[in-house]
Amino acid sequence: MNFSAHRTTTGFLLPSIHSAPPFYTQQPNAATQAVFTEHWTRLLLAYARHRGLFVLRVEDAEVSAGGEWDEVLRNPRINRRVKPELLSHILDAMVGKSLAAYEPAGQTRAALLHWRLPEEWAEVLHEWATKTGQLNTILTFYEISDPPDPSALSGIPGALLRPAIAILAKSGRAQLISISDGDGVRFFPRSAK
Amino acid sequence: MGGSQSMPKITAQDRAILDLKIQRDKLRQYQRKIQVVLDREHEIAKQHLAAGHKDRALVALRRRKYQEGLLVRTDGQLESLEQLVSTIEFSLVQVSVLHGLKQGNDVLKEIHKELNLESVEKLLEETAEAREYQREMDNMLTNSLSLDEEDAVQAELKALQRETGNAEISLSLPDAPTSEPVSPEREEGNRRHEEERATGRVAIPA
Amino acid sequence: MHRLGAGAGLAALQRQQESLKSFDALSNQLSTAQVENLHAQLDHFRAALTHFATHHRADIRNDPRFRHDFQRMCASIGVDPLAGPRRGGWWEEALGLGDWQSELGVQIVDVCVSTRERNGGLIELSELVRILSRLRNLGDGGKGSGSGSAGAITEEDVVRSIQALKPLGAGYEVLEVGHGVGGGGRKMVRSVPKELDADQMVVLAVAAEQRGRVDEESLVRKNGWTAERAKAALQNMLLRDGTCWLDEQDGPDGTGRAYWIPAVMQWDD
Repeated sequence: MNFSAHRTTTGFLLPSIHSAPPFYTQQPNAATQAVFTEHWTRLLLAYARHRGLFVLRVEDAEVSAGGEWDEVLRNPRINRRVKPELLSHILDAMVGKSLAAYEPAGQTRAALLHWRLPEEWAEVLHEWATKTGQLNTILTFYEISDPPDPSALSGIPGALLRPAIAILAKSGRAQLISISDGDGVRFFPRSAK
Repeated sequence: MGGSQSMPKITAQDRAILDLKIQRDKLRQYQRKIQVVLDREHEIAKQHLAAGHKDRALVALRRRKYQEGLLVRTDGQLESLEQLVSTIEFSLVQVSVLHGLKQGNDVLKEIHKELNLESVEKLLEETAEAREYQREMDNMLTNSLSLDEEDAVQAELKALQRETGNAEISLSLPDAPTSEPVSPEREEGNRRHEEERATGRVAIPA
Repeated sequence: MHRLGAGAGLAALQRQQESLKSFDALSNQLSTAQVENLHAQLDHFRAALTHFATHHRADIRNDPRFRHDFQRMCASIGVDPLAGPRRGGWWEEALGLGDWQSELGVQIVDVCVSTRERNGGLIELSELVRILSRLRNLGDGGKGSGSGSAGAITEEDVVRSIQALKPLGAGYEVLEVGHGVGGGGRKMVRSVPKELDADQMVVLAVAAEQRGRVDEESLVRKNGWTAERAKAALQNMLLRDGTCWLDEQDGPDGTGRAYWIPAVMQWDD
């Protein structure tokens, strides 16, 4: 039996290395571990994008199964799983490369995954507002992250929304409105000036 | 027209709308939380019943009923809040439509100001005067020229017309024929002539 | 069947160059007539061989069996028709076969380098041939020589190419692993300048029989090693060379320790 790729029930294609037992052990050889970490980083970001997941927590690797990350963090076909220590190590490396950020800051148990750059989020955001006819109206963050029709932005955390809005604000395409109870945003058409 | 140069100012009205929407969102989130509690209590009641603890199942169901009451109450609140939000948003749209209409009206007025009867008459008058002036000038010039000079001018005009191509040279062309053009006899003769030539060609090699 | 062809070919070529050199020196002393006679003979020989080779060029390039026979024939008269252009001179220009060899060499280096991160610079020869074949059949994007399909290659071609790479000092080497055990051993290609000691060769052979997995216990059982010796060999590969991977979730209870050698694992991509 060869080591081969595998398609999960949600349609994600796991690479062949995912079927190799040692992939789930933290390697004592630093060079080897660096290669593994890179594979894991790519894999986790690709999966997050596939499922629209924003947050990865160390506890996603804890024993109790049934989480949304199980397809990647576990491989029941070879009876292997990523242990919390390994996931913690991978998260740390991802944060070091700015491919993730601890959220909230000051802890290392949960991180936001950056599978889109803030600039890319900005474009997605503006396109959505334009397409759904919500230019020039005041929107709450909740309306963006939890729209009645699921969008590419469904579930997006404020920590990703804010930098995207800041980028749009620079080109006059959005305006952040803050009141004591929370934040809102107003989008404008592209041709600002 | 014009368009706002920079972003519009955030008015007190904007803040009020945002506040309203945030309150609405909070209510929605609260409802979602209650829904989760409802589902859980239902599940607990089912489990108790399956285990034979009828009284405990009842307690769970009572708790569920209470939460359900809360949900219904917030439903009403949410509805009025949402109505308020959409009414305000609709009013804002109306305001901007009104604003648009007003601006359109102003523009129309401006245009009408330019288009009053007096100025049209004056314009027509001015045109008539100009034409009159032109004619007078022509007359004056023709009358003050000698016959020779007039002939020279006419000749120059002809030359110019020839140059530009739209001359009245058609005058030198012959008139179009009006009589019947074809004589059947001549047609006949022609054909015979052709036949002769053809036979002649055959005859040569013999 | 291990041909003395490759080694003999190279050596013979050098010999031929030596003799060409002495021909030069000699020709100064020989009379013009003799030189002309010699040249005529050489030209005749070249013409005949070139004619043969150009006539069968497509076969030489595309048919491994034909190529093998042709090489044997050439080796027997002391020339290496497929040696790289730097050494072969007119041969390669006439036949365009030097391109073929250097192209294969570049591809070998390419595959070895790109798989090094996952196998630590050790790859099974059959695996290398498999990847190379796929590479050559898929991507004939007109790089290098403009000739169409690159055709099939054999392990022997790869071994020849690797030997041709030797003067570059790349340290590529073909190793035989697990010989003696039931006759047929496995050939591995090592692309990092690290020596594999005898014990590591044994580890490779044992792992190759188990899809790449090896543990201390099986080394002790199969080779009569002490546990210390097995541990030392594995630790060297794991920590010093990076040629094996550690798995701490082995066994039915998921807490055992096993080692995996990527070079002998069969990857589907």
